[in-house]
Amino acid sequence: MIFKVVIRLLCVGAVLLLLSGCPGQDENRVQSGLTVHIAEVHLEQQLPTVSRAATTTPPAVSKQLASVATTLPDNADLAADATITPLAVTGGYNHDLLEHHDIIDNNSHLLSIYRAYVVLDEFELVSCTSLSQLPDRILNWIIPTAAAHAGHGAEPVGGRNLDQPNVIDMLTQDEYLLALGDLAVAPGRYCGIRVSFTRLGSTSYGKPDAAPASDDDPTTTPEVPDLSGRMFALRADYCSTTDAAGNCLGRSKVDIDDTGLALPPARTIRFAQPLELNHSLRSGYVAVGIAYGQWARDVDVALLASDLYQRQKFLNNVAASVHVYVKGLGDLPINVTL
Amino acid sequence: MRSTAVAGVAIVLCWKTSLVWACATCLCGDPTITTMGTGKPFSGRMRAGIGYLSRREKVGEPGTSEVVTDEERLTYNFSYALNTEWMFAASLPFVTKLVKRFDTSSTQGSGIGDLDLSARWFVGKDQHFPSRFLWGMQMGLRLPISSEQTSDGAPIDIDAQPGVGATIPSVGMWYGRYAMPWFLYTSASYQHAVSEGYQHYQAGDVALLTGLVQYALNYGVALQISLDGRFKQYDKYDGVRDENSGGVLVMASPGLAWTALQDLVINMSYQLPAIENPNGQQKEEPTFRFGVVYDF
Repeated sequence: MIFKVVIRLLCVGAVLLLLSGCPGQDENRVQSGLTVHIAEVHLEQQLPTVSRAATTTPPAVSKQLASVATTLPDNADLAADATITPLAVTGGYNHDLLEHHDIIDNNSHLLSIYRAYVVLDEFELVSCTSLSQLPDRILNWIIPTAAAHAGHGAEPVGGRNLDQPNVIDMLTQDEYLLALGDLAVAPGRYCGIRVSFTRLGSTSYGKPDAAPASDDDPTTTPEVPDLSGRMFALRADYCSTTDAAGNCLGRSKVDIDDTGLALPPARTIRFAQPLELNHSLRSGYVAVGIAYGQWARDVDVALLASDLYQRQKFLNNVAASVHVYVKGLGDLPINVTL
Repeated sequence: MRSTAVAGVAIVLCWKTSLVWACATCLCGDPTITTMGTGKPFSGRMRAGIGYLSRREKVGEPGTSEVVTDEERLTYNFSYALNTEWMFAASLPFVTKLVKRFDTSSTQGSGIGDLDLSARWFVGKDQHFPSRFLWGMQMGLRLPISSEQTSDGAPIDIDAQPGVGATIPSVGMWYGRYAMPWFLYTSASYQHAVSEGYQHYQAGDVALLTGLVQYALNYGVALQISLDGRFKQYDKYDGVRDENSGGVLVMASPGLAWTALQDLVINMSYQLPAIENPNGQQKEEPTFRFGVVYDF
């Protein structure tokens, strides 16, 4: 009899215990995670101090970079030459009226870029290991990435995100930090970032609407190329004919893309100092720079349109121009109007 | 006469002690065993029960995309036998889910889950009295009575929702064999969602197989072991396949049923993954179940 009473009490106690825990009556709550804000910035020249180090320099003060870029002696001289190009120049694009970037090739040709698009695909932070001093290629192979496909669980930032490829319009304002999205990361120390390239599929952010060029000469409205199936496209020209005084008489178009070329491999860039995130340091940022001034390095722009090898070198230079522009803890620095 | 008595005792014992917890969340196991028992019904028979479940699952790659879901579930069950051929049951879960991700973010959702209605049709039996085996069909319908949980006005992640908000009918067959002190029960059913859940969640079709063996130590205590198999297609979100969903999972569940008092059964089990061949990266952790049922 006593046994039954004890059992009954135990049963009642068990039921009360079940009810007291009361799953289903807790509070809903959401706690944000560790985030790395990813941004892109393009500029003419990659400063030696920011190529692998100096990642704490705020981009807000990046006027310095611009001044360095514009004070490169060769670049300045050639830019000055360009301003005296007579209007009667034939061929090419309307160099005087169109906004453009000028870069120099191996033979001191000045290539004027009127349209240029680069497609960036995935961003992955690379965790630090004792093998971090190994060359990039080995690093790529050995060290597992710290983040899966970028964009998982990320929130859209400024209309862009990391879950799809991002098209970068290189003719927009230099040194402007374009927020691409937020990367969710695990606590840890990160020693680099891996950036991959891709040919555009059906979805992306920032893909321009294709548009034909005007049919005047020189062309005042260059074509907006269709980037479908492409990772890179360029509409540019260079002075191909000069008079005895060196004045430009004729320009030749350089309209190229990555058709027929090998896609550059993902580029892993080490940080000078690790980026550490933990429960206290919950956010950071990495801005990836694209230094378009390096694109024509060891390339003869006069051969670009006809020579596959030259185009492949050019494309490889595009990939190699990707670097870490700035990184740090906290939120992405605010752009400063230059 | 003796065999009839033994069979009769066996059926009664099975009715009292054959409470096996089905996984209502991971859809592994036969939930009607929990709600209706396994005995032959008589008209007007009722059963009420409360069950507690604690489970954990991991999805994704550790350190890069892993999502750990801890779930606690308190389910209220009620069943009623309309006559000797039809039984009906309802289960209403109260659920708390805590989703923890690799990036230290977390989401907790808590509330009423979706209502499970089920019916069992006793189609056949052998010629002995009482029957040494029974078989029949079972039908189920999960109704989306849960509400989508929010935090600061925004819906929380689907993984942390107490219910999925989808209508999911099911149909299947079952078979029970009674041979004191042994009892065998097996069932197979198929589930197909006919509507989208919250956040455009589209549950994949599920085939469930359950095999239960019970051995009664005496009239009050029975040992149980069951194998619960789940064969599930991929889930989809907004038409996009979730690569870390679906696959094959077989759980082995040793358990104990104890008739503590007349008409009162206490049951507990520990469900262990036995065979795992999931799609993508999924890991089901052991599940603990505890419950009390009372027969009227």
